[in-house]
Parts: sequence; structure tokens; C-alpha cells
Amino acid sequence: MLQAVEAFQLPPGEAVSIETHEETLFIQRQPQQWVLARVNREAPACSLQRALCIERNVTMPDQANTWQRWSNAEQESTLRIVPCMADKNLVARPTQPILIPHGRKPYFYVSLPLMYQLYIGNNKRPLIEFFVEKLPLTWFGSNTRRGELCYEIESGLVQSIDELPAAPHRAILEVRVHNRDPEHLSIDKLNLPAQFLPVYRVDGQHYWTCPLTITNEKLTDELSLHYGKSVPCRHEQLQLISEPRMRSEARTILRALEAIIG
Amino acid sequence: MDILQQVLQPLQGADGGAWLRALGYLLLGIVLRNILIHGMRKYVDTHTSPHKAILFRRAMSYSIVFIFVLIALSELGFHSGVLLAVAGVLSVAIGFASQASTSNFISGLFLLGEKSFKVGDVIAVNATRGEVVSIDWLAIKIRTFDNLYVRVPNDDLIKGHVINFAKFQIRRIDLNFWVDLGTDCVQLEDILTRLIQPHTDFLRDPEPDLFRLGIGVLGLQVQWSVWTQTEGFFDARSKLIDLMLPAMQNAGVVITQTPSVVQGQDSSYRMPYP
Repeated sequence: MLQAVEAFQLPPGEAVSIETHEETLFIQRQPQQWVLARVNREAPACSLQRALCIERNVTMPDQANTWQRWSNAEQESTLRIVPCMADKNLVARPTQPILIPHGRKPYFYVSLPLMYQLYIGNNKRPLIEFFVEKLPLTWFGSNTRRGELCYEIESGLVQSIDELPAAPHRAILEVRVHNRDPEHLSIDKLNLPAQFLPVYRVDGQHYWTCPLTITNEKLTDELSLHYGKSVPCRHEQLQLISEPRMRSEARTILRALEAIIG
Repeated sequence: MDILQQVLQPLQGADGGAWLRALGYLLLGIVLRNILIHGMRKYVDTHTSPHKAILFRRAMSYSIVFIFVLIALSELGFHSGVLLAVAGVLSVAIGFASQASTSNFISGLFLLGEKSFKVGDVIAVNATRGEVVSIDWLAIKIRTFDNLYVRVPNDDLIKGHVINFAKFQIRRIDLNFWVDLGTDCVQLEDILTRLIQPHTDFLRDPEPDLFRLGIGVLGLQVQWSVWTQTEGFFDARSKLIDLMLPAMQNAGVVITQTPSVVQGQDSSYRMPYP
């Protein structure tokens, strides 16, 4: 189920602009189609706090690169913008490697960059998806043969929610790591399965996602991942903004250690 | 001639009804083949690799047509036992006469089991590089980058080297060049690393590396290696070169002449791909 976080009714001919960190997107409704264009900026002029500002009644600049045209026979006037989780897993890298002794289960917090999807009318598939801030790609795996492509995120793992920098366009994830193995568990980097996480808006302000518990099983090279049911913070109003992109059959699944912890 | 007459003799006794029934069986076979192949296409396409799907469809098509041809011939008075015996004798004769085809066929079976490549992969076999468009029992078909259609016998694939450029998700871009002996390699590596950081085409991990390969008459030979996605490899390589040249010029790094003669003497020299 999708919630229209921001929805506009656009009369024919009107265009809106959406600022991201490094480019400006222009969306114009024309009589039989929607046109999507973008203008790259040489230097990011838009701070993250100001990003995703939507301006109405703008004129399409001449230097805008027309990127896509959405042709439809029906008259659709609504444009919706919905935040969701990234389309690949996210790799968080703590500033220094973290060692977790046997039997301990500390909490960590990490802020996950959100993607935004643009929908036209009641279509179930988005017109485009984009990040407000560009994320570098990285490879997560034991070697260059086995592994997966992920986005690397700058925010590290912190142990208190107050230590998280106030960053807009991010959802907070609580991760609990339980080490049942007699050996210390060393975390150089952590592969966070963003595609299995939903996005909630808490009290109309912050974005949160369900907590994740990672358990390092005893004397095996396997981990169990447990997805929580709801957000772990206190709230008065909770709104599900977007469902997970992928669903796992069970709330607890087993994965290879090397697929999650690097 | 006696054998041929013996085989064709039933045709003389076949009446109009037998011919109609035979034709009906043939049509039924073709219709049934089409229905089965179309019905199973969705399942086969989603549960097997593209080349196995092609082979499966062909095997099924030939089997159904063969069975219905046998039934039609039986209606005309042929004895299937005689036909099969003739087919057996013929197949042995053809087998001896076409050893190359048999070898290719068996090589094709090995290739199928190995799963070294699939339809759509970009491979290099001997001097041919291109996209695999079809994998068949006797040969594979490749479309080269200049749009030529090349048939490569399966036997060649088993005996020779095959490079699959699309097997893994990521690839390394290697740029070899020579710089002046006075170049500060640590500083150069730092410049090049910072240069690619804002660009999402290049992967953060595995980390880029500047290898110092050796010292020669032309100066210091280095290799700048950056990882990227296999999909979009060529665009990333062009972008890397476009970024590097002005940055190195601005930093005062002197690239010495391209040592094509010197590198050509080295057996490890690799042709640029494609």
C-alpha cells in the first residue's frame, strides 16, 4: 500500500522542479504526455536540508536534457512523490572495526538514505526513482566472484540514537548484533538488507524502519537475521509510507556470515 | 535397389483414405507440437537458461514430428520395425561419415554441462569476440561487435580458450602507461583516487590501485586499476580516461610515449578489448 506523501494536481502546461543534491529535475504535464528533464549542476549548490524542495509553476530551462516522456491516452493530473528504501543493499562502514565479545548483544543505529519514487496518476509503477544524495556503488563479498553490488553509505554505526547526525531524507534503523560464538565477532562493514525493510513516518517528522537483529550462531559460519514488526521508538502517530521492495517468507532467515558481515 | 523397392512397396497399395489419414496425422503432429511448445514456453523460459530452453524446444519439436511421421508412414502400410532398422543402419553409416559432427555434438553436451557461458554473454574464442546469440548441438553462433555472424563449432570451444567477459558482475579497468621517472607515485595515486570518488560508475570496494610495474627506458611503468560494473564497462573506461588525462596534465605528471614496440615484445601483452 502506498501513501501519497506529496501529491500535486498539475494543470496541463504546468511544470514543477525538484532539487536534489546534484541536479534539478523538471516534470511538466503536457496535453497528451508528461515530460521529465534534468539539469546537472557543476557543483552541488543545494544542501541536503534544502533538497527535495518542490517549486511549482516553473519554466523548463533551455539547457534541460529531456530524459523521458510518459505518453498516456488518459488525462492524468496527479503527481505523487513517495520515499522508499534503496533498490540495492546498503553497506555501512564503521569508522573503526567493531569487536563484539561472546554473549554480548549491543544496539547500533544507522541512518539509511531514502530513495524517492515519482508516480503519475494511479499507476502502480513509478516513473522514476532517485536518491537525493548520490551514493557510490561498492562490492560486498568474500571475493570478486561471490558477492553483490551494494550502495556504500557514509554514516557509520553509532551506539546511541543521539549520536546520529540530523540528516534529512534518511530513515533510522536499529540493529542489534548478538554474538553467540565463543570468538569475538569483528565488524569491518555491515551489509544491510534495505530491500526487505519498510519505511514508516513517525509523528509526521522522522522516518524509521523496522529493527533488525543479527545473531552470529555458535560455531557455524551462519547468521540469523530477524526483521522486527514495527518501529522501535516511542510514537504517537505512525504511518506506513512504503512497503519493503522484497518480502522474505519468514521473519527470521539464515544467511552466510560473509554475506552480511565483512 | 531391392531394399528400396521393398521399402517403397507399401506405397503402391495405399488407397486415398490411407493417404488422407497419413496427412491428418502429420497435421495433428504439427498442431500438437505448436501447442506443446507454446504451452511450455513460459515454464521453460523461467526455469532454465536461454540456451537450454532453445535446445529443449528443438529436441521436443523434432521428437514429436518424428513420432507423427512414423505413425503417418504406418498408415500408408510401412512397418515401423523396418523403418527403424533402416534408420539404424543409416545412422551408423552417417555416423562414420560425419565424425566431425559427432565430435561437435559430444562437445556440445560437455559445454551444456559446464555452463561456461549462456546466450547473451560476450565471449572471445580464438580471434572472435562478440555476443552469443545461439548455442546449438553442433556449433554456437556469435554476433561480433561489427555485426558479423560467426559460427564456431563446439569442438573448437572444447579444445581452445574461451574468455567470458560477462560471467561476473564486476570487472577491472586496467590502464597501462609510462610516466616520467621523477613522478611521485604516492601523490599520483592520491590524485587519481580523489578524482574518481565523486563518480558512481567506479566502485569503492575493491579499492582502486596504482601498480608500479617496472622501470624501463621510457620511465616508470604503472597500471591504474579501477573496478566497475560489467554492465557499462566500456562507458566507464572511456569516462575514466576522459577524467584522468586533464587531471594528470594539471598535476604536472608527464606521460611518456606509448611504448607499443616495447610492449609488443612481451608475451603477456594483452590486446585491448574489444
